[in-house]
Amino acid sequence: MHRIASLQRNEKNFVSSEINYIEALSLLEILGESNIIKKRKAYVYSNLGMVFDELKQYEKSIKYYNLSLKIKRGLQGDNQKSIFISYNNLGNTFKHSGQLDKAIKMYAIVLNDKVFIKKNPALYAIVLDNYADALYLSKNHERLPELYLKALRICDSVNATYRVIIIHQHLAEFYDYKKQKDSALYHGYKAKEISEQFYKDDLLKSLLVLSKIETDSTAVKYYEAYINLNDSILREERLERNKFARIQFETDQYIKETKRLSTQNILISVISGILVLVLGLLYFIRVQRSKNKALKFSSEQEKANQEIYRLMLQQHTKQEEGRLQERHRIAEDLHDSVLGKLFGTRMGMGFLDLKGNKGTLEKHKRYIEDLQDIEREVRDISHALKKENELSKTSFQSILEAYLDKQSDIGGFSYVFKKDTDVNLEQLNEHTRVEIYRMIQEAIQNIIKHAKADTIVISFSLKENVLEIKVKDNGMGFDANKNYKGIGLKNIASRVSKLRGSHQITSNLNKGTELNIHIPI
Amino acid sequence: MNVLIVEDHPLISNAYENALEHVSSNGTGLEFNINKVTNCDDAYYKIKNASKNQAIDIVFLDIKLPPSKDREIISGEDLGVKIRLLLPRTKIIIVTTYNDNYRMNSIFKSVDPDGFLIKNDLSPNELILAIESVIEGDPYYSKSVVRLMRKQTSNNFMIDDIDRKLLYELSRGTKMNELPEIIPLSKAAIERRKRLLKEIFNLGTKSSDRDLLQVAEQKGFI
Repeated sequence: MHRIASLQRNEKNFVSSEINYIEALSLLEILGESNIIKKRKAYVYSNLGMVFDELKQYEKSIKYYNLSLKIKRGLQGDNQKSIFISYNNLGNTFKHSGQLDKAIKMYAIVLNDKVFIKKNPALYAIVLDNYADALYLSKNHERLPELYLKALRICDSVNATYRVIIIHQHLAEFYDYKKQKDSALYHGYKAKEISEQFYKDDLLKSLLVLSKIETDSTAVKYYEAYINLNDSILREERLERNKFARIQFETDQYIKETKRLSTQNILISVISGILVLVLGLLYFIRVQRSKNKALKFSSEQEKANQEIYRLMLQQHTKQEEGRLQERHRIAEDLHDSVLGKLFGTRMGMGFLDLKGNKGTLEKHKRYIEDLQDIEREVRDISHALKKENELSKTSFQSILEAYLDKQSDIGGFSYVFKKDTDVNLEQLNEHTRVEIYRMIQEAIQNIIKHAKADTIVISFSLKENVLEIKVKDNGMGFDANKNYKGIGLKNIASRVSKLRGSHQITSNLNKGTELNIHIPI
Repeated sequence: MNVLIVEDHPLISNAYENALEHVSSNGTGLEFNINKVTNCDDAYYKIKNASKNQAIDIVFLDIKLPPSKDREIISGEDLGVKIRLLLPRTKIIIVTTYNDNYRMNSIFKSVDPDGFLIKNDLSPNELILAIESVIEGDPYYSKSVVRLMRKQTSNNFMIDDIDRKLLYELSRGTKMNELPEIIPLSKAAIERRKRLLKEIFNLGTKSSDRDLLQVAEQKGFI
């Protein structure tokens, strides 16, 4: 935006330039307060000042220059040059508005800084020239034309040819005023000569100056040339302006097109966003559903597990009951029938009035005593059978032991079942019992399949509400560091985590494996 | 003398007969009129009849017997109670294979028999001795019965019938939930009694029921 405005200023389309600058300014306002933005802002203010100067709205011009100055002063870094440029511009505006003494003051500020002058001779020359011109306008001719000449010298020395034109013009005007026609003409032609290489604007001015200096026909000639040139310039300007209008129009169209495209873009992105969202949602729903399914499945599995356990328990209880009944029956039979009959027989034999030698009688007596011993034995057996009955348990422990019995037969190992007295396996909830049963099953399966152990020790102990289950074998072991993870161990791990417990496996080659499971209860 | 033998095993009742014969032939000059029954109904019938003319002097009583048809009398123990009631002067000799302490204790209390013989301890001579002793009016108990009684007297005053019953039920494997239906106490009260029993038997509070039963058995309560 501000580039357009600059172009327009150069081509003298000042009003549009002003509008664009203001727009640029408001854009910058939005962008905030960084150093670069401030620099830009100062630049835009300064340019606005220039534009208003050209439009002859000097008050506004001064205002903008001041604003620019204020920002420039607040900027970081070396802004001396740009500040002095602003002073110079301000001076120009004062000069144009006729406030000559103020203009002189402004120029003087710059000229008084000797250090700066040395560094920037071109600027110095410009300011010096302006200063001289201001002095000339204020009819203070004391130091003229020396100041002009000094400026000219400096310009020549730094090759600032463009500036030279203006100085020559000023000199021409000055000499004309002083009625030194020769010098005036010299400088006028010089200005014309140089300006012909450059801008029409300056050529125009040079021509105007010449027309004023020359008399009679030459003046008329120059004046005509001036008018011609002016016309051509105006024409050119108009052309330029048309060009601007076209550019503006094209830009507008371009903007419109961009807008259209951007709305299209927005539309496309919105639609695609919605599409992505919908797809994402669908995917999410699918995932959720499959998760639900998995959850349902696992809970069903859990239920099935418990059902299996329940049935197992039931089966076991029934079996146990049957077994117990049978035992009971045998015990009763032994006790009531066999024992009674034995007793009766013994008594009967005892009362027999036997006749025979002493040895035979003695033997008879001893047999009767043996019979009594047999009776005692039978009775003890009967009692033992019944006692087993009393203390028998249709319990988790007996299920475990039954399982171990069976597996030890199949796997050809012997097992030791240890349980601390304070461990009450029956008080565990069914879920935990199922998991423990399964874990022991896995462990035993592993041992049978891989360990080739002949002794397994299974122990249960309780430490601060944590149940510790140890399954230890004396088999060939494996390298526990090798992250060896069979499905059995994985299953154990997942079951342990289900019970919020922990487990360790320690194994030494050829020395056996120990599985430790800790379950909080 | 009139003798009633209540015994379902003919071999055993024959043995009693033999023993009685021995006693009469041993020069005591006693004559025995022997009646044998094999079940509770018949036995009760005999007892009822006998009560009118006081005709039974000695009863041999088995404990394990076929129960009466109306199920009112289910064992020799019940019969013994009836005899004590109807024939207070009849001498009762209980001969049983039971040496279940609790049961023996309860029989002692309810029947108070003149003779208490455990079949397994019994030899022909001892049987004769027991019969003679009872006829003379002295009670006769088998060795194991005497042993049991001695064991119990030491703790008797601390352990009451309910404790015995509790121990007995526990030993039979009755569950804690079922106990309040059998013993007229709340569950909490039963727990308290159990704790007290453990203290009496010098067991720690952490000891299990099994420990308790073991000690109770050693001490002859079950």
